Parts: sequence; C-alpha cells; structure tokens
Amino acid sequence: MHLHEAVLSNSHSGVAVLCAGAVAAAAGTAIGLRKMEHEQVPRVALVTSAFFVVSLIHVPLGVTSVHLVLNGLVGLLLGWSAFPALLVALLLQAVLFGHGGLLALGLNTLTMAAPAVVCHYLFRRAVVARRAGLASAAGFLAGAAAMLLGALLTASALWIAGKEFELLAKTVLGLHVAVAAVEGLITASVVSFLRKVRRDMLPASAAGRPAHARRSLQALLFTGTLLAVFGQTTAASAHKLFVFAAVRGDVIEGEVYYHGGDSAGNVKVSVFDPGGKLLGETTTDPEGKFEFQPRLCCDHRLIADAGLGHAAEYTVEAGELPAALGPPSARTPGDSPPDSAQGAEPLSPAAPARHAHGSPALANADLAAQTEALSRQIAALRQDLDRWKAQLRLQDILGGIGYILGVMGLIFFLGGKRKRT
Amino acid sequence: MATAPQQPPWLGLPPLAVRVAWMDTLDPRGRMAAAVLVSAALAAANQLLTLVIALLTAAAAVRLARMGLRTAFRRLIPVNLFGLVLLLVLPLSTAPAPWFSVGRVGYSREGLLLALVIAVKANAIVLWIMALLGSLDTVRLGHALQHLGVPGKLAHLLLFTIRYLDVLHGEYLRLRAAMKLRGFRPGVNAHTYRTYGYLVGMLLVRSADRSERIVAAMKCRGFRGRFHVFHRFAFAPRDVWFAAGIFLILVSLELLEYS
Repeated sequence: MHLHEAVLSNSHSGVAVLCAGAVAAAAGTAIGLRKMEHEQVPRVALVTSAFFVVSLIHVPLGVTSVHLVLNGLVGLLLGWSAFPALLVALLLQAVLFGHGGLLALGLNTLTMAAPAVVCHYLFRRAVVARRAGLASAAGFLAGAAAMLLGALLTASALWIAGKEFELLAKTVLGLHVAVAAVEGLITASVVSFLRKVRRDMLPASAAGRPAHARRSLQALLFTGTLLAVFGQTTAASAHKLFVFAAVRGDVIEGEVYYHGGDSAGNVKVSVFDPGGKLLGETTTDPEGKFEFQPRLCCDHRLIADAGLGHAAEYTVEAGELPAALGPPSARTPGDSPPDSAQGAEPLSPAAPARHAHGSPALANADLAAQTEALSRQIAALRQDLDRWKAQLRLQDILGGIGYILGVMGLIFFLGGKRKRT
Repeated sequence: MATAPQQPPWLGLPPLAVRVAWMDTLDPRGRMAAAVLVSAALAAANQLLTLVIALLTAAAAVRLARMGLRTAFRRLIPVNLFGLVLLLVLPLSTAPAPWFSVGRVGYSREGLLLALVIAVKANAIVLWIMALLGSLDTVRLGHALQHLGVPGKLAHLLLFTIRYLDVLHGEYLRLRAAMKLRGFRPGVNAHTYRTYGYLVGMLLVRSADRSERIVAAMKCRGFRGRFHVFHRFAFAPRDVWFAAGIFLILVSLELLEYS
C-alpha cells in the first residue's frame, strides 16, 4: 500500500520513519543495481511495465474488487532487482497518478520490495521443484507472504509514527489479510503457467547449496537489520512523555518531562479517581511543574496529555496522601474537607492517633516538621530515580549504532567471502 | 526547448494539458528539484491555515500550467478517498475526552483536526506535483533525472519502462478482448483467479520475448553497456526567475507556519 508523506510528516517520529525508509530503500536499490547487468535492464524494465499494467487489473473479492500488487511474483522473478524495479514503478505512479508522494517513495519502495526479496530467497527453489503441487503451493505462499509482510511493514511504519495512527495501522493490516489470499491464488496460477510455458523465467535451480544457503543467510540478516532499525526507533523513544508526582504537605506536586530530561511546559494534566471519574485538571508551568490539591483519600491517576498522542500516566496512591482527607464515598469533589481548618498532617494514618494522645504541642510540631523534611527528601530521591531511569545516555546511542554497524559488517563480510572463493 | 506536451491518453486517463504553457519552457531539472522542495516544505507545514493557502497556490499553479482544474480534481479522487478513510478512522483513537459520540464510539477533536490537516496537505502536495510535473513528457523526465545524478542503470531502466508501458498496455487490452470474446465473466471462483493468473503470465511471457528481441537489436547496433542520452538541458534566465519565485513562495509559507 502506498502511503503519502502527508500522513507521516506530522510528527518527528513519522519524519524519522520516512528518512529511515529512504535510506534502507537506497541501500536495497544500490544492491539491486549492482547485481543487475546492463544486458538485463531491458528485461527488468519490461517486467516492471508488465506489473504496472497488471496493477490496473481489478479482481472481484466479495462485494468489492481489489487491484493486484503481485510483489511476491516480482520478487520471485527479479530477486534483488525488485528494488530498482519497484522504485521506478512507484515513481511513475507518484508522478502520473498521484498515488503516494515523492518523499514517501523510499518508504513505499521498502515496504513493497523488501518482502519481494525475502520471498525470492524463501521460495525460489520450491517453485522450480519437480512436483507441480509443491510449486503451486510455494507460489501461493510467496504471493500471500509478500502481501502480508508488506502490510506489516506499512502498519509498523504507521505505528511508529505515532499512537494516533494505531487504529489506522490495524485497519490497514486487516484489509491486506483479505487481499493476501487473492494475491496468493493468482501468484500460484502464474507460477504454474510459467512452469509450463517458459520455465527459464523462473529463478534457475542450478545455484549450488552453499551459495544458496549463504544468500538466504544474507536475506535473513537484511531482514534482521531492517527489524533492528525499526526497533531502534521505538526503543530510542525520543519524545516519550513522562510524569512524576509526590505528595508534599497537602498538595500533590509533580513534573512532566520528555525522555532525556527536557521539561514539558503547558501540558494539560487530568486527574482521575480509580473509577475513571474526573477529579480535576491543571496545566504545567513553562518548566513542566504542576500542583494539584487532593480532596479525596483514594488513588489519584494523573494523565498528562501533550497532544497528538503524547501521553503519560502516574498514580499517586492513597497511602501517600494526608490522612486528613476523608474516604471517597463520603464526599464529592465540590465539598471542602472538614479537616482543612485543622491544617494538614503529612503523616501516615497513625498520626491522628498520636495527636489524640494529647502530647505537648511543641514536641508534636517538631515531629511534624521532621517528618515533613523527611518526606520532602524521599520525594526528591524518588524523582531523581525516575529521571535517571528515563535518561537517554550516550552509551545507549553508541550501542544502537554499534549494533547496526556490526550487523551490516557481518553481511558485507559474508558477501566478500563469497566473492573471494 | 518548448514542445507540446505529449501525455499519451493511455490507461484511460484524459491528458492533462493541451496547450504549450509557460511551465513547459522551463528546464525539467528545475521543475523536478522544485517538486521535491515543495513536497518537503509542505510536509513540514502543520498549521491548517498554511496548508489551505498552499492548496490555493497549488490550484493557481495548475491554472498557470494551463491545465484544466476539473481534470486535476478528478485525479485527486483517490487521494481524497484515502482522506475520507482517515477521517473515519483517526478520530477514534486519541484523547480520553471525546468531542462527540456516535453511539458508543467517541470522536476526538484532535483526531478530526489531524485527519483534516493530512487531507489538505496531501491534496496540496499532489496538486503542486501535478502542476510542476504533470505536463512533463515522461521521456524528458527520465533524461532530466539522469542529468540530476540518478545512476545510469536506474535512468536506463526508467526510460525503457516508460517506452514499453504503452506497448504492454496494448497487449493487455488485446488479451482482455480475447477473454471477452471467449465469454469470460469475472466472479469469485477458482476459474476467475486461474484465468487472471494466466493473463498475467501471458503478459510476462510476451514481455520477456520482447525484451530478448530488444537486447539482440541493441547488441546488433553496438550496445556495449553505456546508454547515451541525447537531450541536452541548459539553464535559461527564466529558470532563475522560476527558482526565485518558488523560493519566495516556500519561504513565505514557512514564515506563515512558524509565526
């Protein structure tokens, strides 16, 4: 499915996905161009034109009709040349029809060509097997798997782009599952036709076992790198929102910040009780700090919403709240708690009992002050811990880069070994 | 060099432009670069006001390129179908407080706004690309890309693909006519899928045969691996004015966006 760059360019992670897709597609195209001899260009071009024309065919499916993509077949016939072939086809579609945009060309090529290459290496031997049934089954699997993998890549690109695209991603995935069966059936039919009419169009089965195994390994490593690249984008979580809160005195004080420590100003924070009822709302100041006056003694669920799907949650438990607040059933948020006149005691429920024993006011105030100081220090410690967990450290970045370099190095090493033998 | 744009009326689409427009006198390399820059600038814009103004400038550009607006809007239908899907799906996701509900399903305001932004942005980008590249002869597009630095084999591939699209479409139509003459009626059954598979297979076989003849012909004419491109492009003063104009439009759009 072709995505337009308008869909993905609204968030930073979307733009990152577009760039990552472009880079990966450029790499795949470079590999494809290197493996394509000058003499093979007309053949690849004609196969590309054939697929362009084929995409006009509408096949009935239930009440509607779908247009064929057949990238599994492209992969079976062309191998790595599927990358430049699909790039050209998508470029023409973007310029002539407006399907997909120029900037999303890389990502769209990747989502269609990568499954094509994978299917090439998985099924190339089976489609030229002696038994016709096995070949047809392999053709079916190649067509269906290519479509499903493509849908998976598109859906994950949407999912990485932002939480708001999650439902869209699932819809895309669901729609393609139905189409995958049709694609599989038609690919199986094409494979059986080509076996009878022009067997030499299908990949030659003469490739020896060691070379085939190495190339399958290369394909697997390429897929692994793709997944690693996509995985890094989620794991890095740049712009993931965090919220932390602690009770200080009789107020819940908190802070909202982004992954890496940048504070998030002007973010709306909503407070809900365990039943989901809204207790109140507040907004963070430019430094990301906010305050909330609790009136009920229950778990307070703080949800910070920075818009466009950035949301974070933190729960302040009832046990942390001053005991002076009454139980939730006795009050509504509108009433003022009757204990407010006495002033708040930042202590555990045992405090009122101690207070009732009638100790001297001076010692009690001293104890209260000490506990206040202690709770402040604990709150500060917990905040530090929370921030430290969320920090993006240099070693994470270096680790990610090293991971990618290592896998790519392995691929090139294996590729170089094959050339030398 | 100003040539009447030859957009072949194949694939069932009406040709976009019928008269030589100012756009066609420009260097296609400049138009290609402008198309990429405009796409990038519009992709970066997220305010609704900026995007609406971009849409209006796109429509103006389409008129400047002497293209029929009605035809242009017909071509926008697939983009807007997708936008409709987005409009229905996106608002169902986000915020905890829905704006309004249809039954048990809540629509959020942020989701609706996002869907609207995406739809307007997609329309604006597609219209701009149509205005800049729509009347460009695809062969000149291939030559322009090669002069812009696209690898030789890729440009070669593009030119050959363009060249044989029309031919293969003719083959496809002949095959469909033959199927119709034999009484083929598509339905949801194995016969239909097998027939479509054989159709695709036949198209591929014919394309493979044709490609072998082409390679043989090229070798006979002394092809040794280098594909020579004969179109020569030169920048004229009007290209500089065009570049300045595009730059001005993009800068003002970005200023509007970030103010």
